[in-house]
Amino acid sequence: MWLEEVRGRERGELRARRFVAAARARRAASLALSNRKEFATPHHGAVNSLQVDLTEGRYLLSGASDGSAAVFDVWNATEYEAGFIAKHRNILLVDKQHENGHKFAVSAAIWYPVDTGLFITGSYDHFVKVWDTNSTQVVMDFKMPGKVYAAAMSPVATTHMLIATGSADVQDHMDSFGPSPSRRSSSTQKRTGNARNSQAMRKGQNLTHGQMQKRLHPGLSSSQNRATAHYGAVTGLRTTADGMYLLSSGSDSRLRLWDIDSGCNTLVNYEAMRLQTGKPLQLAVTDDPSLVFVPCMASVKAYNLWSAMTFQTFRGHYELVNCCYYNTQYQELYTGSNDRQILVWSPSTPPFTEMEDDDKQHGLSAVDEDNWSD
Amino acid sequence: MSVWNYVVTAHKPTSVSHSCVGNFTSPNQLNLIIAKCTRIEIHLLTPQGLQPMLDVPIYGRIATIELFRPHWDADKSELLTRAMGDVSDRIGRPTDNGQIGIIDPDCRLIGLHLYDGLFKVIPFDNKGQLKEAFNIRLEELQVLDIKFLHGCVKPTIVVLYQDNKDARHVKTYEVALKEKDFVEGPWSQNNLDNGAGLLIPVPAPLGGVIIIGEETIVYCNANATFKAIPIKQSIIRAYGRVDPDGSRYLLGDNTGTLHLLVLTHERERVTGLKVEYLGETSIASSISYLDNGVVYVGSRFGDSQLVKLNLQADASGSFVEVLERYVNLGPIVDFCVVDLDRQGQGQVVTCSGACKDGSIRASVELQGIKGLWSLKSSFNDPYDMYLVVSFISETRFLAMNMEDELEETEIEGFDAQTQTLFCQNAINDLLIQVTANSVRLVSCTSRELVDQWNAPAGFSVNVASANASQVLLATGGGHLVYLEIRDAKLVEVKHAQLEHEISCLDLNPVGDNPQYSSLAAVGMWTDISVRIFSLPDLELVRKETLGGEIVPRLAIAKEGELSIGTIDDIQKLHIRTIPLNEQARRICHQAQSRTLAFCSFKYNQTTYVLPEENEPTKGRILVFAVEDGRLQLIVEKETKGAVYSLNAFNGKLLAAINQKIQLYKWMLREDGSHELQSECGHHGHILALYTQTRGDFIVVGDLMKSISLLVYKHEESAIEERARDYNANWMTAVEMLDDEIYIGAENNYNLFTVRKNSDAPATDDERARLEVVGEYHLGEFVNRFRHGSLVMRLPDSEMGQIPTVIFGTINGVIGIIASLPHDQYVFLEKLQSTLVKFIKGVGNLSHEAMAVIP
Repeated sequence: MWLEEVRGRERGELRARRFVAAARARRAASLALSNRKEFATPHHGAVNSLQVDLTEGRYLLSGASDGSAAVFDVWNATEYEAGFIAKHRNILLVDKQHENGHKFAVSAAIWYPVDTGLFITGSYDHFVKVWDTNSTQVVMDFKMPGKVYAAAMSPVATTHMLIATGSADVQDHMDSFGPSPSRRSSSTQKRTGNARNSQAMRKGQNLTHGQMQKRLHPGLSSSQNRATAHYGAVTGLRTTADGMYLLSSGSDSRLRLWDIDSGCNTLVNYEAMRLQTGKPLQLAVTDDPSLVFVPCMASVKAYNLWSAMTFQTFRGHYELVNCCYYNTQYQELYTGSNDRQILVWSPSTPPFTEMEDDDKQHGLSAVDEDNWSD
Repeated sequence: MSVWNYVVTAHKPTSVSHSCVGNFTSPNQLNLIIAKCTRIEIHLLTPQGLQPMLDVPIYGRIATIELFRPHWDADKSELLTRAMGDVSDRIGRPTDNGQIGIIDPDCRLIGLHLYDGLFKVIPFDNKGQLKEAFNIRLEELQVLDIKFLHGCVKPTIVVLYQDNKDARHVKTYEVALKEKDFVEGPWSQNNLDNGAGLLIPVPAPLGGVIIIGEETIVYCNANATFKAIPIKQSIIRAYGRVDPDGSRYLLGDNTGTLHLLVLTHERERVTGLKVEYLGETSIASSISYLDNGVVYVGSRFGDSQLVKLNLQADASGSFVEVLERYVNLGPIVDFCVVDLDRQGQGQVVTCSGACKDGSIRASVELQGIKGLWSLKSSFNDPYDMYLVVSFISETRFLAMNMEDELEETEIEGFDAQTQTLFCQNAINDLLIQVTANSVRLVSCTSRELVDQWNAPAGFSVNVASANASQVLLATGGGHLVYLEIRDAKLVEVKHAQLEHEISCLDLNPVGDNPQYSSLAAVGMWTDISVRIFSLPDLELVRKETLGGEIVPRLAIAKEGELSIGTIDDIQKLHIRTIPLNEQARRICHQAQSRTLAFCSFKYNQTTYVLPEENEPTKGRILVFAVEDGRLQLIVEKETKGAVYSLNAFNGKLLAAINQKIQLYKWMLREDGSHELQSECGHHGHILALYTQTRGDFIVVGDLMKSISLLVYKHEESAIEERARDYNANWMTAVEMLDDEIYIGAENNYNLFTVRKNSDAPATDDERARLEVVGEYHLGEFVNRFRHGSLVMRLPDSEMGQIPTVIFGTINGVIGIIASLPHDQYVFLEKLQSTLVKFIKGVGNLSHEAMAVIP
């Protein structure tokens, strides 16, 4: 089918966009626990948050309950085990030993959307910290009135650089961080070669530092649908990449799909699931959007967004799963769990081609075998 | 090494995506309007056939084209952009099925479907001006087609869509302009043919819509009329309405069959459907019924055609008679550049067309033509026989053969080794050729030299003009020489010297005698004037100064830029076609045996696709020898995956097989037979689709992981990754411009170049990264790059040193990428920006916006 699709595209019979959409969908539909790629986590606690940077799609940021945050290169392996299993070790770690490290669990770790020079962590120690990636130093921090459960930045905003946080306070907060010292901003530019950075930084200066009330839930503000969104706490939120829909998960073990424009519940009735109740969940959606990935206790389930049917169940973690992140660029799913692991689920199409001389290759890098431990 | 690459088009897009017919240029002129990817062509329908009127570029890709006749009709004159605007949104996902743009038959609004789940409405006010657009949510996610219904009080759309169980339905909506929302429409129809893909709205008074499926055609309307007719399974891609009342339609399917669909009706009530076979055409992408049974069939897979529908079937049962074919090179799936004449001029041999319209086409670049003249075989012959094509350093002659095709020929008496300045039929059955050194008279019948006039030593002829009995020429220094033909001899009658250089001459007979002119027009450089001289005494009769308003033209006439100014007129490819009736897939050329090998759809398929499996898990590499013009299979090697690309590499064979690059050695077995033995390989690609090699280096174009550079290490007998581009480009072709710069084409119609970082102080991370050094939005889907040149390469000229790469695209474009020295690049860039100021694209789309990668 790949061959036929490539030939169809070559003839102009298969539109270029359709080709990409079909290839992505096909790969997303074939996700399985990767036997070629592994992350070696340095975390000594549950993995709570996962995100790949939005500019290059190259660096995976994780936050864990032991107060640590780490960065992995998802493209380049640190070493190869048995010649072909790519082992990705963290290339950056900030933990309790760090002078500015968080004292309690990191609940949210997000990239600055404009480049990879900065990332933000939120913690149960009431702090939100902004880190310089290159120097691994805290550039600024915000003290919140309670435990920080969630943090987010707009990937499309051009006129502000606000961080939205959800904390154990009555209100949600939006914090703005000003420009980094020019030295830093130039160093971040160098790393990514992204010229938009400095402009965004300057624009940020004009904004006042303040708190704004944010409506948490469109369902609540809906004039047409006054029904309660969830009978219980809302534990997870995720918008689709096209900005048209919002998914919410609740402690009532329900997943709901909302039309953002109207604020109405779309009434898509997702198949029964059992969800963690005490912790925020990080959901993920493919970019079509056709599949939603939901942490369901110790497994992750993929639901068809429109038909609401379970598409696939991913079993591999030994304990409760907290977060999942879907890498749309190369169609890989990363999941983090209380078992302190980050698992990689990768497409199995096209099938892996073993060649007659593959054994010979394994011998070359077998040296690495002894070095790895976990 | 040069990072300054300049892209030019040698052959414009020929693939036709849309066409429409109507009175566009004037209320009583019937026009055919054709969309060719990035160009719009307007033709006038005349009793003699189609007459081209206008060919304009659009700085964008045409997604949809519609003609409409507003009620607020105004005067029409030239192609003006009435209204334009950006209709993009920040939210929403662009549709995968292509953009839809439709106009309400009563001209109340324009409807656009650009993003999944959104329908954009642009209302017209009562003066015909466009008002502010708004979006309406469309619940249907997988929209296949949308059309406006005719004869509705409120603007009503009909939507063909697929639900998440893959069933297809149609639904109607009324557009409530005031509420900016949809109101549930008058009717809907569920569970249609699974292959339903096209809607045809039927004009009032019949109204309703025809739904074209793969096995059935259905008519339905608001009065619950439902008529269906089964058809032989086919995919119908194009339709054309025959009658204004909408009772007959032409349908073209994916096998190139043309059908007639008839809506039988009693007054305003549809009573049934009928489908009749008409005959075979090219595989149609658009059908426009012109008049009197003449139909234009636009095609993306083969030549577009003008056909006549006859009332009586011919011997083969076909009602279709092809009147004219319009060459289309697209889709160029593969091509190679060969120099069959070994004269330094490349010919591009393309695998063109798809399915039954597949062909091999050899294109000779006639770029660099300095002049073009037609000659008759004798003075009184009504038709022209020869075509004289002049290049910078030679002249070629083409003659009509018995099949009315142009064939290269020789005219012995003419000088073929230099550029021709002028050619003309003269009295006494003579031919005149003017070159820089001489004027030659040649007999039409014997083709031999009769007389010759040589330019004085130290002077060469710059410009010349002639008629049947007179020749006027200018040499450097303002010398004007007047010759007459008397008794088949050239006689120098008069010589004059003017104060400035002469830029152009004209000697068209004015007055009663069509063979002799008593006046000559001379254009001057320095004072920019035109002077009229009397003949034969060369006395100044009148002088007219033109003023300074011709600056751009001067700019154009400077040497080297001349070809640019005249590109549109004479830059043409001469194309020879070998129809195959099946798709050619790959082509290569072996110089030793002077053979072209191509691999077509029907034969040589090197991949097994087992019915139960989606994936090709096995493939084969076949090695053939060419002996006495025949192919002989020597070795067959099974591979564990589909083979996407093959390259000769260091005397070995490099294959791209699924996600792996594999190197094979050519081994001699003890029994004297050969085998392909696997030597080493490289994993780490998602799908290695395209490979190119140079020395020990290999570049790989991945399905979605851009370009990576591999190096073959002889000592270790291993292939390792050296560097890669970390952008997520979905590749469609790659080539190495030189040792350090590589070019790639990607899925969004862009070209980009990357550079290997070989500087010593670079860090490991930088060394492992291919740096993007150039980006260009081509707006064309490139299938293949090849090194080569279309222009005659002269070893001593500057042009000969410039490396060029040729590319071929789906729409039939052949383009050239020239790696220029920096100063020339800057010069061309300036020239381009100046030209862009003068040449406006229609639609007010800016050239910059198109040329910069979005």
